[in-house]
Amino acid sequence: MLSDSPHLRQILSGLLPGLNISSTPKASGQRVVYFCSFDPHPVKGTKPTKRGEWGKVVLKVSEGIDPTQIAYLQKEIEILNGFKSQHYPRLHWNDIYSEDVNGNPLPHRLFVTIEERIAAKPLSALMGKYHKDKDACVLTRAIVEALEPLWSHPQKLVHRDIKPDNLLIRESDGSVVIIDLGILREEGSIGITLSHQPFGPCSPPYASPEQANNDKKNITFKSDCFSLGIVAYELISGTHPFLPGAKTLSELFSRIKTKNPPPLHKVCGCDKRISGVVEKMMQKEPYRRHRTVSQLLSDLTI
Amino acid sequence: MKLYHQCGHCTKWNIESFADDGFGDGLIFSPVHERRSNLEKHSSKVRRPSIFDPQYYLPNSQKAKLHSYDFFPEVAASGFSTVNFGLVARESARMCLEFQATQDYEKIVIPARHFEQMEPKYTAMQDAYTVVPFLHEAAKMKLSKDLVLTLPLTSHMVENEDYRTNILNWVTSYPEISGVYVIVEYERNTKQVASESFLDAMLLMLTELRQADLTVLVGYSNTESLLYLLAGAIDITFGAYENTRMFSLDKFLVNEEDRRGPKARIYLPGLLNWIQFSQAVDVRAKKAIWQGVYRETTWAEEAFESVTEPYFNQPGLYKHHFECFSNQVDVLRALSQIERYKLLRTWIKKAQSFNAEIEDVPIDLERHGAGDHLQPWLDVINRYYASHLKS
Repeated sequence: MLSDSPHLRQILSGLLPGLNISSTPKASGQRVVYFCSFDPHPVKGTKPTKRGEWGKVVLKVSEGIDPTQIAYLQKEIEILNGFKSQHYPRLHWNDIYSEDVNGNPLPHRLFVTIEERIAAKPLSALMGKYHKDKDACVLTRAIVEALEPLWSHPQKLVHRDIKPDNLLIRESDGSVVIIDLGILREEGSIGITLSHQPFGPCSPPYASPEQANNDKKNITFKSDCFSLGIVAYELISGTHPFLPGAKTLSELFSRIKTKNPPPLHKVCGCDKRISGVVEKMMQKEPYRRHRTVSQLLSDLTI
Repeated sequence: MKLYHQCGHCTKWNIESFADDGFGDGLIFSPVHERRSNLEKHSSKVRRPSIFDPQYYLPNSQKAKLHSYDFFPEVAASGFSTVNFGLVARESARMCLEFQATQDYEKIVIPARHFEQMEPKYTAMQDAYTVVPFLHEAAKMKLSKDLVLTLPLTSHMVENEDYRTNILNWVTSYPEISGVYVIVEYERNTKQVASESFLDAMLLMLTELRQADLTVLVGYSNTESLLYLLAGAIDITFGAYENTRMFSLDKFLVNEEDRRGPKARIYLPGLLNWIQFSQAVDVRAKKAIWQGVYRETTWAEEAFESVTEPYFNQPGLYKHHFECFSNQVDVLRALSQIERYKLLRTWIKKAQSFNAEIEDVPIDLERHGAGDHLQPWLDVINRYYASHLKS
């Protein structure tokens, strides 16, 4: 597992001259994430050439990545490069490094991406702001609109990791930004994850039943809708629909696959229609969820 | 909720019934029965409210009329095999879509292959065979008409909950598809469908398809399709020959012209059944019963007045059926689902009572005309009412 360390910072500063790290929102895990900026007038002839114009950026670094992980990361890059949407961060740079600045081989390859840092907060830090059913409904609709370009992409992409941490709310206008497209999946593709895994790539508390079963053929935009249903349920009720009482991962998945959480209108007296929409988003069988994005958007219109 | 003529042999009878007599809302054309050059001659008045079923059910069918369509798999691949069709699947799809769009049919039908067994890779094979190529080409062509996916199933597939769920998840995973054209092969030794478990499962599946906001057209159905109307706005079909009222791959295999002509039957709406014409003559002699089970049409009256018994290749009794069935559907479609249930229940009970009166005459209707399907139908609609309609 990669961790933030003076050594890692030293390597990065050597490879990316003029790098100023301001904070570390994610210090360990599959990726280390830094908030940083570059000297406005970097040394000429060094890469990335336009870094002086970027302002505040997010630097993500992964270590020792295998071809599978590289494929995921490259997919994320390809998608981000293709999007010209305010709902996704702009990608400035990416590279794979196997040597440090002095040409010494690194023990593990480093994969570095640098993207726009958006003045925004993750939804996880703002959950209380949207606890009123109508506010939550408006926000959920905005998230669906933000995800729509992904779902209607010619490759029919699925985010597969929708959760409050990956949904940013811009400080300027409250609009939604979707981040962390690292486990995107193309509908109908064989996929680059291992099929024998008991569950597919996801954040377990926000996984859909088909992700929990690693049932790849049924992973479509409806899987993201299920995750978003969990987010909406959590916003309105203040409680996660499946986590309370689940002591192990297996218990959590079992709940996701079999437990029907009590309807929101009974839990917190929310509007019955909104309660019904969230219930439909969280149906266990994908065919019982909204069949088209336009139907979902229409249901979320209040 | 529409009623389509399921065309087969003698499509002209269906066209006359639709265009001249005003029965049915459109037609479903059958390329195995009609050459392309013929089909293209139909007037736009007939084509526009109608549907073309590309019939890729048996992709290596050797039926000559199917071979007049250059997109049919056996033709497009110069001899179909699962391996070589992949190379021409998109081209076949493009040509088939172009044909349907040019002909200006009401909807565009994406064909599918029929599997007679519980094929475990059903959805993956349909995806590779037609669904993905057709959707890809349709997106390129920017077609404005609704895309309808053919869903050929067997009764076993419908009755198996896991299999059915898998199919439902698959069908509803394509937002581009706005409807399904459901065809179910149900092997049986009775003319009417009398299996309660099948009808229960079928009604459940149709309800779930409707709840997913898909348009649903049930093809190749017989009188049992009246029960399907309990599930809401379901489009159904009616046809002349029996092979348009029950699905089988036989019509893509054998030369039906060589078959012995069946005994003439007449549809009696009051019995919700077809009975042998010769027995209908006996029932007709009992005026009180006859008034309850028969609906007078010019076609039937001509048949009864004829000195010879009608033959299966004459249109009269089929046109009588079109008129009677169309009228029954018209009555039902004007009603709410609960009202449909109530009326169907009345119709079935009355039919049972008429059957008892016929038996008391005594006239022993042969097994297909005897009404053995009625009690199962009553049980099925009562269960559906209790589980889906009763508040």
